[in-house]
Amino acid sequence: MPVVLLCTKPFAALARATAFGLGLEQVPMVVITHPLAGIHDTDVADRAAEAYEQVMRVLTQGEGA
Amino acid sequence: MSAPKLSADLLAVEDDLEVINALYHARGWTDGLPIIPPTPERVRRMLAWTDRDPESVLLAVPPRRGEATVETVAIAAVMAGAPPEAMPLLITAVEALGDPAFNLFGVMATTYPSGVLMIANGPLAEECGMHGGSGALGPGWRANATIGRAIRLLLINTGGGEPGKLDKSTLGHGGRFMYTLAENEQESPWEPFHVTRGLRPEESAVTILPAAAPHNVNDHYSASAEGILTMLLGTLLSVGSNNFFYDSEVVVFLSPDHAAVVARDGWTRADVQRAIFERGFLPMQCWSAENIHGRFRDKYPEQYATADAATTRIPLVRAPDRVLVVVAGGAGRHSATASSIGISRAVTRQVTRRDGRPAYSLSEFKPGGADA
Repeated sequence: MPVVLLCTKPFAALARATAFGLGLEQVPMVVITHPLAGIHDTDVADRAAEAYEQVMRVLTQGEGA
Repeated sequence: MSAPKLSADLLAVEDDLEVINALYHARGWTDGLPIIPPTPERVRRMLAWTDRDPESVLLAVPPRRGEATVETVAIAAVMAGAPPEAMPLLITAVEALGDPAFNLFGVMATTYPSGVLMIANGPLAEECGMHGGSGALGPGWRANATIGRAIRLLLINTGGGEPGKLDKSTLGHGGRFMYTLAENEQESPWEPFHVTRGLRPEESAVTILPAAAPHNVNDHYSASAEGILTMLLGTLLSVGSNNFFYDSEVVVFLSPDHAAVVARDGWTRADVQRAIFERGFLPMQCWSAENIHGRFRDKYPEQYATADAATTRIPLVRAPDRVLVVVAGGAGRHSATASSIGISRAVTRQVTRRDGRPAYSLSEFKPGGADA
């Protein structure tokens, strides 16, 4: 199953280290703007748009962060 | 006994404490305080106080999943300045970190300010110098300070939990350097804490829990168990506590003076636990509207979707045994409480010898001892 690891920028290093520690160093990762919690609906839509574009690129072209 | 073979890589560096510390700090191997250089000689002296093989793997420490071995524990203990006779308790604590109930991955990856609170009980705690009396969670007590610090250094260096980088605790607290104490068994009116966790008084144990900073309970006036309970509850019931959101433990560090008042009224430890469980509620309206939805209505719709926020009570803990009552501190009318991360459970582990038999005395680990 295609998988994309999604996280906000301050947590990218932790996400990458965790993936590596679990033997999943090849997992594609998409990094979006922080924060995700406690934001307004319009900002949620912006985050989703930001993520969608990158996720589709990873899934179709294999380009991850 | 021949000197144990070490596996760690050797680092050649100028024999200067300041140079060594600058190097260790630059590489992210310290907690920000100076370390004792872990030379092979010092590591071997530490290993002399355990019957475990240096290469024994205790756990893989997330997020990097580096192996914590008996040798790496000894290295962290040297760096922290721990007395070698602390090794049996330290190894026990590290083994406890590997219990799935503790959820070390969650603890290491969280933004929550979780120090590894370690409560030691039994004869080995006293023999290795752990302190449960006056100022036990503060400075001045070598075994407390260094065992806790060794745990943090181990997590940094095997798990990669370098603060600000892979360790994402938003603010942290002083207990992330060390959060280690013994129970004040001598001044407790009740059985030792580890007995409530299924062990015998003559056995030794450590209990660990990822906990936030202690919150003081200043109570100079209550002369009854009911009065002290009121003050404890008033301190525990804080909307910022994770315990309302998850099923986990809270800690009550009950000072000997307060414990004596509570026991004088005939209350047992179990009575305190039950009272906090039964009376520990806040009305849902205490939280912000967004939290009422995010934490309660959306998460547990069967219970809270249409519940009246003014009258619906949110419990602090889900059962009496989620209240860990530890008698600690010295003279004075100050107790303390601490909330936990919530996504972990407290783990108690007995101090044992390599074959799993209980250790009753530090002498069983003494270098060159008859049974060592």
